[in-house]
Amino acid sequence: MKTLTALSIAAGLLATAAFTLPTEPVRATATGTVSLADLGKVVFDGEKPEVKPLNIEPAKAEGCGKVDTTDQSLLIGEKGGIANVVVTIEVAGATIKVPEKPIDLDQKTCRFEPHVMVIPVGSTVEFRNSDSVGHNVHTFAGKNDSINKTIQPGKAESQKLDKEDRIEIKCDIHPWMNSYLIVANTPFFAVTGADGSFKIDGLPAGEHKAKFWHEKLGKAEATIKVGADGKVEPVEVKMSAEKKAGGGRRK
Amino acid sequence: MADRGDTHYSVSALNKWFLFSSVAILVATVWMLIDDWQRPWKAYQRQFREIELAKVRAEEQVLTAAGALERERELVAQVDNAQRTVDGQTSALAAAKETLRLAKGELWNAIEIAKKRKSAFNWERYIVEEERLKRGDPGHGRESLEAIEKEMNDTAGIQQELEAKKAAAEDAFNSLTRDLDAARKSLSAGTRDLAQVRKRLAQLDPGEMTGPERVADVIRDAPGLDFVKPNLKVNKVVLDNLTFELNFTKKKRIDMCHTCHLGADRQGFELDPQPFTSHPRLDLYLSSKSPHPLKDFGCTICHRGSGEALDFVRADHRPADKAQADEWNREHHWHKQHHWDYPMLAKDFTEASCVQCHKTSMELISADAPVVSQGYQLVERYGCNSCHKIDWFPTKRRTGPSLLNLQAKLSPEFISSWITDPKSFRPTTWMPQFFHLENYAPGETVVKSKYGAGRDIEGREWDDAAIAAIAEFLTDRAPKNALSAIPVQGDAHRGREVMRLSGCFACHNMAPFGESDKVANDLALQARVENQHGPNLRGVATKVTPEWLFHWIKDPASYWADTRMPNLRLSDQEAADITAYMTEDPDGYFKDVPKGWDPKLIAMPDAQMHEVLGEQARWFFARDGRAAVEARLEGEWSDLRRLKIAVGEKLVGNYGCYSCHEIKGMTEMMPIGTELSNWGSKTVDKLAFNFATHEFGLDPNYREGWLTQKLHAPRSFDAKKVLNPTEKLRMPYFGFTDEQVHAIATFVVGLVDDEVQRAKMVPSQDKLALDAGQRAVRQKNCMGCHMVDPGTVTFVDEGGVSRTVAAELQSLSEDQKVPSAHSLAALKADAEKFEATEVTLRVLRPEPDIGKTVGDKIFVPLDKITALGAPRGGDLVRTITDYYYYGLELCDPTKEGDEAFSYVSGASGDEFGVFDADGKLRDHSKEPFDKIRWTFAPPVLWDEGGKLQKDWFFGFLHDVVPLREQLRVRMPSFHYAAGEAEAIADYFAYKSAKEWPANFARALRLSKKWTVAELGQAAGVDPRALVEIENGVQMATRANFGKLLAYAQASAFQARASVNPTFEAQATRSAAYLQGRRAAEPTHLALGEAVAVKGVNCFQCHFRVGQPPQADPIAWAPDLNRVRERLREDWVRDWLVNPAVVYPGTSMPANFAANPPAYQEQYPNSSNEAQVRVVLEWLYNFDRIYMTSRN
Repeated sequence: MKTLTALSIAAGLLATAAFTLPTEPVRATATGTVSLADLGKVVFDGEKPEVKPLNIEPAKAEGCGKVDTTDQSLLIGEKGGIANVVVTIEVAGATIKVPEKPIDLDQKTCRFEPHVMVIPVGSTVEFRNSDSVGHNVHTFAGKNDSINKTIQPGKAESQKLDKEDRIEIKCDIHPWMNSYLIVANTPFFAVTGADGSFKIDGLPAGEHKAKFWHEKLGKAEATIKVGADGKVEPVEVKMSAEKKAGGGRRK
Repeated sequence: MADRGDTHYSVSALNKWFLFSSVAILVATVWMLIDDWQRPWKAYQRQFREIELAKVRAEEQVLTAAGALERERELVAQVDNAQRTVDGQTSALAAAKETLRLAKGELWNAIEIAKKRKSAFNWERYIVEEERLKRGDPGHGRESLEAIEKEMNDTAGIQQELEAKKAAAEDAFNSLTRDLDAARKSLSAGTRDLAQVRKRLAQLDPGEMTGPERVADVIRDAPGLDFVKPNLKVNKVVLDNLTFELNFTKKKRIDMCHTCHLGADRQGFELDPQPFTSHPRLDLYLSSKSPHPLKDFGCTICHRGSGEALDFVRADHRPADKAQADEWNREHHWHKQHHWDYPMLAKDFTEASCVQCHKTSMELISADAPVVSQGYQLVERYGCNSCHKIDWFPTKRRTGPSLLNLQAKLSPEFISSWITDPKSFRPTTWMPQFFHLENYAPGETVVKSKYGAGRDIEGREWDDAAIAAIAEFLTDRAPKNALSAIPVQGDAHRGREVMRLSGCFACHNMAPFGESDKVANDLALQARVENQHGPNLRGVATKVTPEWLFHWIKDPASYWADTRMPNLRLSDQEAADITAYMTEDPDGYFKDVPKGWDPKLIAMPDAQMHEVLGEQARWFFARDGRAAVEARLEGEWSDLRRLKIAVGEKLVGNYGCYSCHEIKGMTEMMPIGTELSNWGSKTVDKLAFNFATHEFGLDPNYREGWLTQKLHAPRSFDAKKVLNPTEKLRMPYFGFTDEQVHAIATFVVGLVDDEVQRAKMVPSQDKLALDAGQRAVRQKNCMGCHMVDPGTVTFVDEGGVSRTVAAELQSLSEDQKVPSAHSLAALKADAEKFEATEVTLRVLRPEPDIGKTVGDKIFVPLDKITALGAPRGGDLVRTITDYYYYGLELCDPTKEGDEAFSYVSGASGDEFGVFDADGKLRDHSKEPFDKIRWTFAPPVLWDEGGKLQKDWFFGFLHDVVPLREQLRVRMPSFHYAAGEAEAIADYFAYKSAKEWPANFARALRLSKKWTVAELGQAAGVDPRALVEIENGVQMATRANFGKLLAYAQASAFQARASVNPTFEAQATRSAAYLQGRRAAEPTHLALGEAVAVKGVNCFQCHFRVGQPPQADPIAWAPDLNRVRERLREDWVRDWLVNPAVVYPGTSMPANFAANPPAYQEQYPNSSNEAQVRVVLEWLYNFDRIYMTSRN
């Protein structure tokens, strides 16, 4: 268990996507909740598909600087870990602490950073443009208001998001740019890191249903058990490729 | 008196006679009075009074239960209190009154003095000026004049002081009684309902009356006295303009129907029995606010019947059916009034009467008169008016395709089988069946040949021979003109995508013939509304040749000048691809034919054919004389082909084929059917019922039944009659449904003589434009592609109030890519699938009642949604988005379950995607719905008149230029009849202008978050008028809108996404304007360019004079060089400020919404508004700017 704890500290420091960063070392607390713990890993089931880099014509990326052409829609690590999987765990009675400061969603070298982000209901997000070229932020929201605004270099626009939602964000000027912003109605959420692992802080003891979503691979579920002593048995969640793009409406 | 004997008559006998006759006259008079007094309508009126009384009492009880009496007591107590206060201040009040009186007096004095001094001054000035002129000394008398002027001005000062004093005295007096006045006002306002009920009770309820009133109430209606001021009296309206013909004279209508139908024009009697029931549509008829008030229209102009009759039978009431007729007969001795030519219309035919006044507004009444409108449209679609002249009918086109080059399209086998029974190939065709109908029944003798000397010729062989003759004649008249070969090799798979994305399925469908439980999820496979505009394309590859198909798709008008099919400006390759897709038919649609369809020539031995056709020649050429006919039969007609052609021509003439089809040499022939222009005024005795009264139980007193039978079975009136072939009925069988028959019959019954010339509706210019435009929009099927009006959603809100808002559904879940179709059934099915209980709606028009505006989202529990009103048009939007997301769904009925369904896309290979306009295959299936919808589907036309400059729109319709280069779907080049394109441009302009004030008023109120009363007070407009403006009432708008507009401008309100009411010309280009602007801001055009090009960077997405932007087609936007001529400036301003309130979901971002404002580098110290202004000027002077910057 000690090795596991040590590992999770290391992994926790590495995890860039998880919104809440640890403030204290991981330790089971007296009340039976668990501090930032490695809850498991999401891995790809099946043969690793070939993901081609984005085909961005230089003329269309004028002013973007050096564009990273990695297709972020499916990132699979060496051991099959899938990055950018959204994990949410709903716990009855849990209260959401809305972050006081706005949360940044940046546009840098013509990419949205981060590519996938989870924020709790009621948070304010600040759409920033760190590029030297103009972008627009066009959000396709389900329940929150969709916005479509030009953001000049170095400027930002903010929006408060009050409804549970999954929002796709695009820049119409640079069609390859997209990002997903998940507004979660729970304080317990994470986005998997490059190795597919995920960590969530402060889960109470008991059995929890964790929901997983990935933009290309769809949905999955798993049960996470937190013992009365705060011990967690890490889970391994498998996700596999959907049918080929397009088609399959009846499914 | 004793008989004195000096008269020739016996006085005593005379006295007896006198007594007797006096008594008799007295009795008769009394009898007359009583009989008159007891007329049935009085009984109805008494009964109605009882009903009314009961209602008022019930109302009183409701008010009482709601605490109205307590409230009244409270208010009265308040008044009393206030009164006491005032009473307690008697001396103060008297003092104030006295002060006021004195102040008034002083003021009056001052005013009089001022008047005098002013006239004195004027007199003095006149004298002095005259003196000055005489003496030539301008300084003369200055002092005296100035002295008098000073005196006058002093008085004016005093007057002002006194006025203030009087006002103060008034205030002082009023302040003492203010509370009392307010209390009185709230008493009368708070007890208005109660007072009304009491007033009515006093009139109706004997229990509420004083003794003398009660006596008067009885005496009023006493026999012999009821001429003074009776309660029971005949109600009548005299309609000077609505005459009708009676014995060859035009007579005013006098309608007395509401003597008995007492509740007809009033609300609240909906559930009471006849004759008291409220009219079901008081919003449209009878009520004083409706467009057809009782006092101007009466009843019989619509219902017919005898308006002056005060008796159930004489009014010529119309029973709904036989059972009701019998019942009426028992109760009222009812029978049809045989000598009254205008029997009441059957209840379900009343809409027929709309036609007599609404000939120039048939499109506009379609929502309120759906049946007669449907009839009108069916007459147009089926071309009834081609054979049956209707003099005013606006559409005169031939409904069938031209036959001038028939052989290039069809095989002889197809022609024969098609003429025999068109529906056996295409069940939905509007071509009717002419042959093998009941008056030429198989096995029944049509004639005994050779003038009665030969054999019996039976119906089947007669008609078969006729079909062969017609087919021969038609092909003879259309010699084979071989079409040129298809110039390029087509590709079926590419053709599938071209056909789908070009927009063919906006007008055509491919619905399967029978019911099938296995059909792909494809709108093109459902017969919907707009996609039935053109024929169902199933089986069409078995019908026509590939060459014909290619040329038809390329340019339909070259084959049929009058066709509704437009030119899509397809390239040879595209047309060849579609042709290949249809003829190779990889998906199994275009070679699918109904069971039993087997095109073949008429099979009949030549000898028999010659014999039968020879007999037909004897009848149709009878006028040439027997000898001549026999000679030709022996001579030239011994050649069967020539006989066929000769008889075929007669048959085509006899059946009037040329009325619907263009046939060489027959274009000028007269139609063969009975004229219908005033069929509804023809008296019933002129209709040939023949044996139909016995055969089908038709009532010979009424026309509706006759017409219905005629439309269902046109030839059935020949039953049991002995007729020769030239006398038999010729009208073909259309296979109308009951609903269609009813609709057409309703329309035809409404075709009456114009009895109402003077009262005929004279629509205003905008109504005429809307009507003509709506017809053109319908006939060109604009709604196949474009959504002309958004759909509505009706739901019950949290307060239990039902709301209807213009809105569109959003996805029910993050996993639902495309929102549900706009129907309650589809929504419920999807909600079940996605386990959704709440529906998100996006509002599409300002909705002040719920405090939302365009683009806002609202959330409604699924079970609170009561109705979804379909949007007008736009099915193709879904067809196209479906294709981008899923490709084409195909169904193989031989397989089971999910195995049966497969998906193909344009590439048809492994790679999924759609070919973009730049020729590259791209997969857009992961794009958000709004992006696909607003980028690749046909644009919405919600406010097109508010957006486009009418002249440009008109030109565009005639000469289409591609505006959105990324679209694969084509705006067709239509062939417009004279005035049609203009009508469409006018239609959208008027539509937007008409909706504008209502939207403006709502948006204004919404922006302030005010109630009607609050806005009314601020703007100085009667709140009731405001409500009417918001409801689009023209009168209120015309009277009050100016004030509202002035207020809006004063309070710096700018309407978003709407039209400037003045529709004024563009000013930004005028020389004077530019000069003024240059003076104020010398570089304003350069600033505009800097903000637009360097700041916003418009050309990242927008075309620049034909030069595509760098971005992919999904980001393409229209060429900015068209803005100046195409778009209205006010619209562009709104668009620049906030595109999402114009088109929620558009890819155009809000470029001028940053806070603090952006683009300071390009335009230092500028506000967002200033930036919009310079960009607007740049756009409207784009030609100048662009030229300079290119140089």
